[in-house]
Amino acid sequence: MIEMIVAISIISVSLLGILILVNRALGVNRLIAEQYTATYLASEGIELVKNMFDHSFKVAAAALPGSKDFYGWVDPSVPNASSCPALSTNCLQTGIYEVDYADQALRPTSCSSIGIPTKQAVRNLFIIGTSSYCNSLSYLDFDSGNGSFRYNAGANPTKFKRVIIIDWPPEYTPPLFPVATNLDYRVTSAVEWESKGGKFTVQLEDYFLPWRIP
Amino acid sequence: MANRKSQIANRGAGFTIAELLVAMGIFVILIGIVTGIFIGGFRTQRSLVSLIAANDNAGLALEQMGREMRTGVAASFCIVDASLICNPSSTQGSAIGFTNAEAIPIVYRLDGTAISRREGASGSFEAITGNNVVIRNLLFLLSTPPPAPPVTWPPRITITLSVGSPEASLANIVTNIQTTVSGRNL
Repeated sequence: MIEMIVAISIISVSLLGILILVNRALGVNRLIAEQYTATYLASEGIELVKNMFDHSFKVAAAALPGSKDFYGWVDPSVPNASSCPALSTNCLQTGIYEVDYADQALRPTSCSSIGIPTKQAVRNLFIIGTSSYCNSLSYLDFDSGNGSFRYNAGANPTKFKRVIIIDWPPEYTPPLFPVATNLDYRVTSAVEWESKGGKFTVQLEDYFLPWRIP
Repeated sequence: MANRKSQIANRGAGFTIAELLVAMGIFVILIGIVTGIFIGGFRTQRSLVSLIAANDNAGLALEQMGREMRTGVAASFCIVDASLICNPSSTQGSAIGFTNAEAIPIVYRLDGTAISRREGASGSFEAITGNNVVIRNLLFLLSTPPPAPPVTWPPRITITLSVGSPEASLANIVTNIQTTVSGRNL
């Protein structure tokens, strides 16, 4: 009798293991698809900010041609802030934002600054209970009309949240660089989603330099 | 003498036919279950490979389109209608036309289940996605141009597509991808 119980237990455990393995493989299937979507959404975030950055240049070039007075987004706390009003809505501050493909300006959030956007610091923005958790980040909606991801598109919220972080890279300040320029912007775009197996994040980063001269 | 007879009788004892049948039955059932799981695992693995191949293929097509659009002539982007004529008032459609960095007119569109590219005004369309991917939906969204000059926005093209695999067992699995391209040629 004991031998029988032992034998049945061993068989049950091994079958259970195989079943869990197959189940996990099916979950990975879905995760791969989500990973693709998230990666492209994060990449889109960078590209949208680049679009606005270049728009900022075009406005400067149209308003002040030949002035050589283009510093990317002009911030009130740096020199040449006086030119900011002329650039109207392009006076972008460093901070934490959201954006979708139809926006002509970044959407401010109420998230507190996280300093250097390390992977963990960015992840914490999405994790309830951490000190930097930000509850003002919204889920992107799926617009079934044109197959796009955007905010407030209707009743199809997806599992994806996107955040855009703009900061001045501290490594560009003295003593590594002779002059603290604050002209170089670091743009971080991260997409977070929850799936079978936990929370996942894709994080991309780019540096924008005001190399064009009006 | 009696003890000796008993030993000889025990030596002949074995399983009854019923015991053998039950044991073999259990064995066959277990082998069946394990084989089923094994085959299921293979199918799942094949599905994963198919999905990855489909998504990779679509990703390459997106990359190709993105690179060409980024360096395209800023004022040349337009949605192209069914007769391949540029419609300047349209902001979304399944075909887009523009002039690339080498001053060649380019059209990308959805042909059946593949993304096709046409080079030159009289060229023919050639698929840039393979047979192992099914593009169920492709849409180009152009950001609304400003109403008056000077034009202060670089071209912004959002591409949305739904990617699937041609395998019948994966007909219900669709990956929705969206990305945006900002023209670098200001």
